[in-house]
Amino acid sequence: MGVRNTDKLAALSGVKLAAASAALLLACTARIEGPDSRPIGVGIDGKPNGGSSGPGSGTGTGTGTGTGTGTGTGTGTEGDGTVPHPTTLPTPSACKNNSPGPRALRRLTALEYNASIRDLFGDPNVPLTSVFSDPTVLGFSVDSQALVVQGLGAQQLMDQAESVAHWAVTTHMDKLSSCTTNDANCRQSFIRNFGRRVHRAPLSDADVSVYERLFSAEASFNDGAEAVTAAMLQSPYFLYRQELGTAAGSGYQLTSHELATALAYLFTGSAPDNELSSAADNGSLNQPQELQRHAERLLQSQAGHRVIGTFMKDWLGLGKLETVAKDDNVFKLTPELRQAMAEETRLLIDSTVFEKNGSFASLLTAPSSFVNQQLASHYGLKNAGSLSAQFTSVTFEPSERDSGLLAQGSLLTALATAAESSPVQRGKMVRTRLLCNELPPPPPNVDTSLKPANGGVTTREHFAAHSQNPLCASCHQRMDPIGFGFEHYDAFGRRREQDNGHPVDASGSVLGDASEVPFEGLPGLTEYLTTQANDTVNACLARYWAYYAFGQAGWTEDQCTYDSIIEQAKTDGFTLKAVAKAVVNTPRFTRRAAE
Amino acid sequence: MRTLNRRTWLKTLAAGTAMLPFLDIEQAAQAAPAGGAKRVVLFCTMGTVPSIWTPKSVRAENDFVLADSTSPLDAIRKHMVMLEGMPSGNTGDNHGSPDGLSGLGFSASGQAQLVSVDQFISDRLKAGGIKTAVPTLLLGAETTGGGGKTMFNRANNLPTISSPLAAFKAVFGNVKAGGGGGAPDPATEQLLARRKSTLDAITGQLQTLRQNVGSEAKARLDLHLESIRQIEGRLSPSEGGGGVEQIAGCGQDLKATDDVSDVLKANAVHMDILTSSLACNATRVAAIQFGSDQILQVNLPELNLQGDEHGLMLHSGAGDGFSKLIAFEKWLSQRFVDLVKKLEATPDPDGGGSLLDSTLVVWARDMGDAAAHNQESMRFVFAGSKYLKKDANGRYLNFSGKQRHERALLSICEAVGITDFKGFGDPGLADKTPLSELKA
Repeated sequence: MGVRNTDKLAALSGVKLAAASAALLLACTARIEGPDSRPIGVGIDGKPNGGSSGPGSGTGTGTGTGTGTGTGTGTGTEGDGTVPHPTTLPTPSACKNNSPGPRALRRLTALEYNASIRDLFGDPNVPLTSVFSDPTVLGFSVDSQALVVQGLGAQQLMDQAESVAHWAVTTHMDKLSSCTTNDANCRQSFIRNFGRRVHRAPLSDADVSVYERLFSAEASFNDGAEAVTAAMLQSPYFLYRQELGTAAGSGYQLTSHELATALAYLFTGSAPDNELSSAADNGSLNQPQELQRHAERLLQSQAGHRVIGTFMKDWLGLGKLETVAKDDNVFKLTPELRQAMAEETRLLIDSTVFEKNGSFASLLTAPSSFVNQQLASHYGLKNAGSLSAQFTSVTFEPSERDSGLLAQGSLLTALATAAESSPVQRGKMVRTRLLCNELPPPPPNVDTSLKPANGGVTTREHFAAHSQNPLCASCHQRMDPIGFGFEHYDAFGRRREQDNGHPVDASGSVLGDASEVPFEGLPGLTEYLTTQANDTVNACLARYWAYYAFGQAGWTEDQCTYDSIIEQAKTDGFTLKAVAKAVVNTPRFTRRAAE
Repeated sequence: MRTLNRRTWLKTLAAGTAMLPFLDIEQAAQAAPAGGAKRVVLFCTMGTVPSIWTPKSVRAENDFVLADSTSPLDAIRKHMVMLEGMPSGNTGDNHGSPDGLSGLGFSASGQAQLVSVDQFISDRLKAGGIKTAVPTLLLGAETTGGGGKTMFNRANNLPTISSPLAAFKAVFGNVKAGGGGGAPDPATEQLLARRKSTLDAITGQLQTLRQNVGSEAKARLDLHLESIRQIEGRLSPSEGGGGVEQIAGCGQDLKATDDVSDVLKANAVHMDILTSSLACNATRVAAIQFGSDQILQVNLPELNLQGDEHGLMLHSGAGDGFSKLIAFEKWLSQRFVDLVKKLEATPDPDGGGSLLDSTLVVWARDMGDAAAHNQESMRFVFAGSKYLKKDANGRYLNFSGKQRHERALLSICEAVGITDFKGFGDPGLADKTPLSELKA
């Protein structure tokens, strides 16, 4: 079996096996809704990790049906007060009062931290090493409740801040300060101006005094600037993004600087640029149309393109392309070829989303792709010889290769084992990431060993045990039949008509509550996802984009936010840009509820 | 004042640590506690398939023939004890559950003790006055791949340091406070003073911010504040009232990069960092984990082993008798042997023998039968330290399901002198004592 969902199955803890199996069957079928229904979360009942929420700890006894949305209070004895990280998308909390949800404090992600420092000095070559050890949550590294500074973290940040400060003073003094005389005026000017950029907001007088004290303990301007720069880079006002706001009515209104920060990190993955900072300073950002204008501007930038690419990669699990070990005996997948596949997908996303202003359906049905000679040869395209090392747009002959996102080499290679295609991984991706139906892990004490794939069996036959054993089938019937639709493509994304000596059978089906929809190959699956399941897929995209944008998998009345995104995006044909920018117009983006 | 670079700083310190105040505390920290071990190393991997691990034939506790997958352990028989047949608190807990090092894992009753033994030991050592520069050193590339988990927990799952370069810098890159002896170097003192003032300033900002946020964010800021307190402890260990002084200038010969594209290669560097961290007295509790509970990308073309351990070797291996898994487990066994031998060849920084004499090394896993996803028969390999009861031919103990695996974790605690286990594992464990069979 391939990669497994990391849900925890509380119902099985301490329960006898037979009962557990029955419970699982019930749990599995009761929990999973058909593709046409609203996506559901699979909060696990009774399990501390899945049951508790909010304050208290992961060892609480909450009874919510998801993480973070129940009302359990932590009563664990060893908890540190942090909230358990979700392992599945929680069931959304119903929208009753149009609540914008709670305030937030979000540590910069590792990528945001690096980008922010590079932008502070306008130099991509700032000497930086990794200083964060962040877990992946729901496939992303953005979860505000999981991004912490703990253990050796503060030490690592300190070391890095000191070395960057030293480098900056030695090589980029112009970016730090316009003056270098060791007098009160120059010191103030440096602290306020550079500090404003690091804090992403004007410094309070109290903060200025703090930095002044550090400065004046040093003998020279350079030493003082170095000490203060190092301190600023360790400051929580740099390391954490605030979404706290000021009291307004019954809740809070985010400040213009907080809005600028939120906008910048969402659409560029870095701190506000000069134009956005000025808009924050002069208060124009408090106008919704200005927010939208900057959102559009930033999304169109190179950084904006990268953000969409990163989101897609994490949403669809494409990151594995870089690290998945492959069997050299079957095919030697070189780093260059991996990169070429990644580049193909990057160009496809860029072209579809930004040049053509397309939707996710447009990506799924994209009629052409981008290859260079190496990739074209790998794909076995007959015109490969006429291509060069440059990537160029190519329309595949249907007999040579399918078009669209699902047929991208990056996806097919990432979602496969070392030597074989994996209907489970591919089916699971569609089921959980495009349809937002969650799946529990395999139950214990089932023989999960597959029969050997020798003696000329096809992959489909190889996985037959999944459908024959009822303990396996209850969940695998939701994955494998979808994954079989990918069977024309091997573990290296190459098209094949034969699988172990037999003609490929790429017929598949998508099982729902009340129906089973058959389809033929990737064109059939694509057709299904862009017509019958179109709304479901778009809602799922909106849900994951909201997670990426707000760094939380759920909060009180989060359905309000998802509804707002969907409603806005619908009026614009659900283009990806519309989905992306819709977040800015949700109540949550500018306001927060009282706690 | 001249600007000081790190090398000069460290050289300056080397002279300064020759004489230390609070010598009685230092002596206490140096002496092996009643347990017989001063240090713990955890070598953490996925579960296996029991039939390939269990010795091929067993005539007596100290008379057994190793299975192929563990055959490299022949080289360290005199140092080691193999254990199996011990269920966890909840044998169906499955992937990513904390049972492996916490004894209990999840619980239907709701109260689950999620502290892993490494964290528990570190907390207790510190409470007992043994404070190290690094409380626990958790290493391992890509240990949260595929949404997976590490074996280390404290309410939430604790990540390892993935990048060897980041690990090296975290352990060996920082500046230690000078001890008493000799005239203080003004530049050194200045840098130390600057750091302390900076940390005070940051702490003040964190405390201000903390007043304006909800309890969930408060908890995270508290982690940050504690992380800063740890630095302050490292800057002045003697001021903290007792502590183990990390040896200045130690470990500087290590070579490390940020590259984690090949997990096994990165972990090889991590192993060097781990052994150096013990030799340099940076920590007394260190661990290395190979991959997450979900995925370990194995790239050993010379052994014809390429693929994810879990998918390829555990779940697709039955057809050919798990030959790939056996080959990979053999490779892991060899790494374990290398670790034990390295510790044997390294002097204890406090004197009195080798690091192996004072270190309990434990190979632990997250599940028992990883192909069947259960924790019915957890297995360990214990090695080293004066605590462990050994035999020239090695020892193999099979508890046949009659003893909870938590008792082996309690043995690890007892080895470093901890005998009060309140707050660890299953509060309802009937026999909450270490395994007497393990103790010399």
